[in-house]
Amino acid sequence: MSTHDQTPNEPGDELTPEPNQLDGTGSVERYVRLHDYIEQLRAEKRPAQAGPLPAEDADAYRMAAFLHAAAPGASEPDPAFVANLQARILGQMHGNATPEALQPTPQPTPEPLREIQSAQVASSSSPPVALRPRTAKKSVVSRRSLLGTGLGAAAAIVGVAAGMQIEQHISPPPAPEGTLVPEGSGIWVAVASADTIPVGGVKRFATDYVVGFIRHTSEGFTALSGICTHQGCMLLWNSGDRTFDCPCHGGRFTEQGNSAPGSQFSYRPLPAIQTKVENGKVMVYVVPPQQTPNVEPTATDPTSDHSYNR
Amino acid sequence: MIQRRSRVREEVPAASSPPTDSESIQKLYAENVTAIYRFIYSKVGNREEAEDLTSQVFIKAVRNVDGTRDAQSVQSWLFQVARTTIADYWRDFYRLRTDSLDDLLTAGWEAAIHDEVAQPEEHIEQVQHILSRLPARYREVLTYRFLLNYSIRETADRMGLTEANVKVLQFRALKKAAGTGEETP
Repeated sequence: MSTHDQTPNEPGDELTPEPNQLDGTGSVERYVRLHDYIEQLRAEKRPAQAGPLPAEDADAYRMAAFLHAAAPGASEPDPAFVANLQARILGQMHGNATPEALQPTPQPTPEPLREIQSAQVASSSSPPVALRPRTAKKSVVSRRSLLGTGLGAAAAIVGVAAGMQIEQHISPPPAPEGTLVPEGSGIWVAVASADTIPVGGVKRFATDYVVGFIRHTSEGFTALSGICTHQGCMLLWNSGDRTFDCPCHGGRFTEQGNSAPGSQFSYRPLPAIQTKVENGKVMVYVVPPQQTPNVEPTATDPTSDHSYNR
Repeated sequence: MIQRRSRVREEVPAASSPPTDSESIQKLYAENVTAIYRFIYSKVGNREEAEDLTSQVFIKAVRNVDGTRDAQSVQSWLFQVARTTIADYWRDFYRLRTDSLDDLLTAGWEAAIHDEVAQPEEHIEQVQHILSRLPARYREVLTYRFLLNYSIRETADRMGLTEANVKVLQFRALKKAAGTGEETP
């Protein structure tokens, strides 16, 4: 507990607990409950039920959620979630849905804070304040949050608080991220015969929950997610330009999975998918079929390349 | 508030209509999932809940979407499904003493603060507007806690307060900000 003296500077801002009020709930308890709620938000966890609350407190809770959600990059959906939900929806359309389909998806593991570099945003002589990525996000989100528009937007907000100076978290330029499915959380699924994809070839595959492309390079087989990192559309392989093209908004990715030059926007790279060759089969490491526990994992449509020529 | 209720009642999801094919559903999903997720996240403020509620919205959509509507109409309908889903969530979360979901919608619980936030830039602008109207001390504590992600202890150190006082100050600042937000056009 800090021993700093309080120095309220607003009318009526004496920071002492108020008398008990509202259903016999003391004000101290109200502060603590709200604090606990905020801490759950910061952890990106589902908060415990708050109620019953007086309406004015409920407004404060909702404002906390709204402000928390405003941090740069915070509101971007996890690409793995987007792909997973898409697969669940398509499964539902084909009669494979189960009540479990409505259960929350597994959450990403926390990542440590990244190193930061200083950059003055607002003119001030005040001590620097660090603009931090959320620690409970996957790196793909928090990295993005610190690049591009997110940082500028955050700086604009922080600039509102006069006399503040912030440090930016600068990550390396976008590069192909880690694997789509972290080690230990997926399963290996055979999706193609190795001898059917010549060197230089690209083949689309679809398992129960992941759509992607296998590439056969001079260094072996690799695989990329087939979901556009913009808004989750399924990509098409353009064998003429050797790019992955998004039919929804014109996004393009190089065959290595990076945002292609000339693309309308600079998209995050396509997540890689682990591959291996076993018994002549190309295997990919993908999300297990949690919603259909009694069904063996399968690869669907392994022979269609879903490509087009220009 | 009455005006809001009228709009809500008119847009409440209708019964199912001609089913759509897989391609149409994929298109609907691809074009809307990010916007819907952002909208929901801006209301609930945590990833677990946002993913769960987004899933619920699209599961409902697949079952009930009217395949004859155009894309814009479908998107409006999806947002309405999202609002209803969020309202249900709030009611459960706060254990509101309301008899029906209609009461909740009437009270504007689903969107009293900042309707239609689907783009991060708009969200940022609204936050900026809210903060700009707060007294300096309130603005400062909310900036430290929510935008800069400082802990209570760190915020206390920065502001020269005790940790207990930071909790009090953030509570009052949030209540004030919520009041400010309601005045936002």
